[in-house]
Amino acid sequence: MCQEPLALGIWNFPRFELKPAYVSIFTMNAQPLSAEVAGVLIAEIVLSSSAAPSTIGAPTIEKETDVEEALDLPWHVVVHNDPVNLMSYVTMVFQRVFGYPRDKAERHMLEVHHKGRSILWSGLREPAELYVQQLHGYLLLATIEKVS
Amino acid sequence: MEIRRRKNQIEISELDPFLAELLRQIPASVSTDGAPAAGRRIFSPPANDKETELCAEWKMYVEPELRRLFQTATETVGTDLEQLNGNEKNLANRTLRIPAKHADAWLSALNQARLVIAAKNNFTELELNDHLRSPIASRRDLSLFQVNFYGFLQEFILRELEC
Repeated sequence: MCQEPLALGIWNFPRFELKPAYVSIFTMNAQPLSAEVAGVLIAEIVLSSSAAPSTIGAPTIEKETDVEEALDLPWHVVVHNDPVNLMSYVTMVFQRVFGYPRDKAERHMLEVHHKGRSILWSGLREPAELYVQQLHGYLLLATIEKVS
Repeated sequence: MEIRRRKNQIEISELDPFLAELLRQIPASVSTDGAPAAGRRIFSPPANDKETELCAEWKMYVEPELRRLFQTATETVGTDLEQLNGNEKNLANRTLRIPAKHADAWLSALNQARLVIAAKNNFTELELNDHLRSPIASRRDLSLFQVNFYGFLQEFILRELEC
């Protein structure tokens, strides 16, 4: 727990080191989906979109899901640069929404910062839309893009 | 002003009347009324213009949900800020205690306010990164100070969430 107080003198306030701001985010009151919950939701969507009305235990589900994904794969979740959002905030959002470890979240954050955009996730359209919805809830500039 | 974590609260003490007033301005600052640019920033499109169907559905189904989400966060912050109400002529410093469980609501409201103020003033990236600008000589300077002050609070809350 951080106990050390942070002193703020109003007239020297600008000395605070606000890291260069930049990107954009979801879900504040209703807690954002945790990586585990999001994973389950996405798995449900993937499985429900499978055309296989197979019996329980049929060993072909995973294979058919792969085929389904291959047909509908080219959707990217893209986060765009934004000069207002703080770098630390964006990193936290990537960790929460995608369940990425901190270093991976920071890599994406820096890519957004330096290159203007970063592809955070690729896959089926429905989960991609869910991710974008979460990111908008955190007020990040995020879009879903179909790979041309 | 001092800011520290105390048990399950974030305590902002020694708040002078000016900074207390800036905090009280958070709920009002998130309003996008009469500022289309701010509205477009808060409710940005989920895809490019070619995805007309997706964008239309988004506006119809997702935006209202986002609006409620943002409003709930702002209301939580507004309730916490009632601690600062009182005699407007009282120049004594104040203390604000934010329950740790409200941290996400504060992050959201502060972010909304920063984005809306920045959009309304059309701040450039250069201005936003100019933390040495002082003193406050215009309404625009004050707005920039507000954005930076809220950003400072965001940074502290984020640091606390990591601890």
